[in-house]
Amino acid sequence: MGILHLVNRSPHESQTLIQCLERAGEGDSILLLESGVYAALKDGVFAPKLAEAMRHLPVYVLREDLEARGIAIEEICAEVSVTDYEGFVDLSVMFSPIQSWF
Amino acid sequence: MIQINGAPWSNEGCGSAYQFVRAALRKGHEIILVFFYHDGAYNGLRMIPPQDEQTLTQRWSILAAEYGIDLVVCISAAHRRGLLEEEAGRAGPAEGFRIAGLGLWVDACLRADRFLSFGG
Amino acid sequence: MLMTVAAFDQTVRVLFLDDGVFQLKAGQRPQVLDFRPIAPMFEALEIYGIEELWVESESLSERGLEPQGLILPVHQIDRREVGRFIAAADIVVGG
Repeated sequence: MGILHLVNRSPHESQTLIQCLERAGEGDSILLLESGVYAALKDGVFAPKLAEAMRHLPVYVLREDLEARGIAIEEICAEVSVTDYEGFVDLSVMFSPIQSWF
Repeated sequence: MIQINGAPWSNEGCGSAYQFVRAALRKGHEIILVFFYHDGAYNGLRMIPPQDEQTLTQRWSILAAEYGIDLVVCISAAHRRGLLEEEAGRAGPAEGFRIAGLGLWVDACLRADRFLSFGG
Repeated sequence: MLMTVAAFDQTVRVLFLDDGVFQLKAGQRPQVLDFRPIAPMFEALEIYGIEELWVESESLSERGLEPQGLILPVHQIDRREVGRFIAAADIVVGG
């Protein structure tokens, strides 16, 4: 089973997304939550980095945290899968261990 | 098994943890322990609630009453923050919370299938 | 926390990543700022049976550190191996 990486900080003020991407491997998955969802903005500077990562590993983003920040689905990278808290629970069953990048 | 490290008024992870735990319970999963560590200890405090909104602490209490989950504030984290002193109107843990040590944390880690930590 | 886990006879591996490696830098004198030194705590880990201290090689080299400049002997691991290292654990307490 692969690792579920949880990235909750904005890539604009924290290195955790980059730190995670450098270590995540085949079979892993990343969930962006809280201010981590800012990384998924398709016109943002982190979109190319995320797109490159998504060639190897799936990236999810939490719908509730997008909505809370006024980010529409159209504003995020098309390859990123949108999920909700129920989906987050399912992901935590599908993957192990679960690593929070603080 | 869930660990919460942040304080409710300054760390969004406390809310995320609550949403996650509620979703997991609704889907029929078992939550063995919610452990409030470091500044997370502030979540389990009995506080004067604001009139116009429900606090996260109150929502945890309601969830505990509904599902019987174990909400544990780390004793050393609480002690360091002066949360265990009885004077000054501090009345200890909020409804549905209890105070215990890291031994409980290890025990829950060993029994649980998954460990998630929030609020860093 | 590490010591509590070890007291339960569990295998504990400690991995230092990114700025985490600075914790092991030799010659730290936090006393000048009235902070408690952390070196004795790391040195005590061995007594608790925690002998597996790992550092990521790239985290060290990016910061101009070398294994000889650390307070304890450590195992080294390459960045590309870190994912597999983490995946081998039942529980990851990070951050």
